[in-house]
Amino acid sequence: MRIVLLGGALALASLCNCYSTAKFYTPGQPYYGQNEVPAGNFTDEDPQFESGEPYLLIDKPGHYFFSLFAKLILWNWSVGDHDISQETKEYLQNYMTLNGLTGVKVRFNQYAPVAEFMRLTRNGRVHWGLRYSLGLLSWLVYTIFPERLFAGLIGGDHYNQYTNTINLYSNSVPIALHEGGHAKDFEMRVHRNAYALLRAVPVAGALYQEAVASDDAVVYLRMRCEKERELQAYKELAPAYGTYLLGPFLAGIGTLVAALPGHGYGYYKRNKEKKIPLPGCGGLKVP
Amino acid sequence: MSQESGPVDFSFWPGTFLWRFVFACTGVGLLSCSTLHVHAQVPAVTNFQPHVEGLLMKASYHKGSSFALRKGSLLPRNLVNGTGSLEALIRQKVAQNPGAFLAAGSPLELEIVEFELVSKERWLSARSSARLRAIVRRGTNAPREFFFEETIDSHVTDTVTLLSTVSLVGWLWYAPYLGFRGTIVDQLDYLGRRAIGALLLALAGSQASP
Repeated sequence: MRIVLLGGALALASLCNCYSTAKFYTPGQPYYGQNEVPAGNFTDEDPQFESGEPYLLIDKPGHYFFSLFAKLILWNWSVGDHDISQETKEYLQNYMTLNGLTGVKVRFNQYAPVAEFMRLTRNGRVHWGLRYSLGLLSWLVYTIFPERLFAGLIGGDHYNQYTNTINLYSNSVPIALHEGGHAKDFEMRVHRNAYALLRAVPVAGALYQEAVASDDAVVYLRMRCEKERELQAYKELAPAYGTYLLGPFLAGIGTLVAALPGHGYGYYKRNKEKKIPLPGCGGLKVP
Repeated sequence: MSQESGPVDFSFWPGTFLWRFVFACTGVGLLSCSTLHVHAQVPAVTNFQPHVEGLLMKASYHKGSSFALRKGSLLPRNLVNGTGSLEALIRQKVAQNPGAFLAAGSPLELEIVEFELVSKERWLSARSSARLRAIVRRGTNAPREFFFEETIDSHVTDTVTLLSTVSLVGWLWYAPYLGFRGTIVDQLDYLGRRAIGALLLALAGSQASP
């Protein structure tokens, strides 16, 4: 219990003024090494953005049953709703265009184990040793427990660095941009293998990468002068971050507790930012 | 100015091995020790300097052996840029879209007078800053001066990293802080991109209104 309290105190301390919205938004510039292919070679048969066909018998149980716990933790009905609007898709598409993420695949509510395995084998931007160990493991979990059904309970919205794919199941703009932020962060790294491994470092690895992605989403929305969306991002992303901070120390129902500091911070930040007019909107637009 | 892709130079610090070991154990050394990636969106060739018709570049500032310098509280580090020198990056960007920067019959002469990308740390605080001063001459028009300066203040230092590692629980605060504020490398990357982006904007603006 003491550890939980200490963690909670640290969590609150760390969340203070965490979003660095004073920053200008800088578009991403993916790093490509000597023999790496910049684009994803997408075709009409294999487009960059794909949406799964709606299946009520899968999507509805996913929405109304399997994702309920995640909805409760994050207090967000759109988590794992398997019904992604055209608006959310366009937000992510625009974000990816701005950041030059030409090699990143996006699957909107889609289950594609064979295609994902092919992407795993072809992704030369991550060392084969990592792809066929950690990458293969994540693919196995993806294949055996389809997030198309289980999102929110087992897995959920995420960016897979081994296949270079964003998988989305929630109709939430901040969550979509957050996953895009992961892709941008990873694509810009020079030492991508090391960065992928960092994720495996307990607690600290996830905390760093999640912060980078959430921060990018918020600053992006601020650049676009979208106050309402920015406030929504605090509400939805801060509790999720809290689960990364305290989740590892609290199993099962304790995860609910883990999200509380994030909810508190999200509430505080929303109320604070609501009263502040956006200073000089517009980010850096490099011709 | 030697700009090569490669690891950060640690060679001049006696405690290097121990420090790298500590970093490696925490995993976050992977962040702190990485090469800069301030670059234009041109892949594949390190320090690629395309010839651009109508662009003359001069650099009269003092070029050290590195792109950026981190004056750490425990050890200083020279940081190289993975994709090339400042001149190379500007050439790449102009070559990508010459119409935005160059006008027919009016050559663009760009002289980089000052470029400094540096992070200075005290024990518990750090200031990363970028300064870029250039003189832009376009055809027979009078030269224009461009100046950019921006700083980031933070608590991202070697000492805080060490304290977090020793206490272990300190990472619960420091890892999120690093994520939102950025490691020193992230900060320098950001500042470098901002400086170059601002210069390119100014160049494009001067093309539009000579």
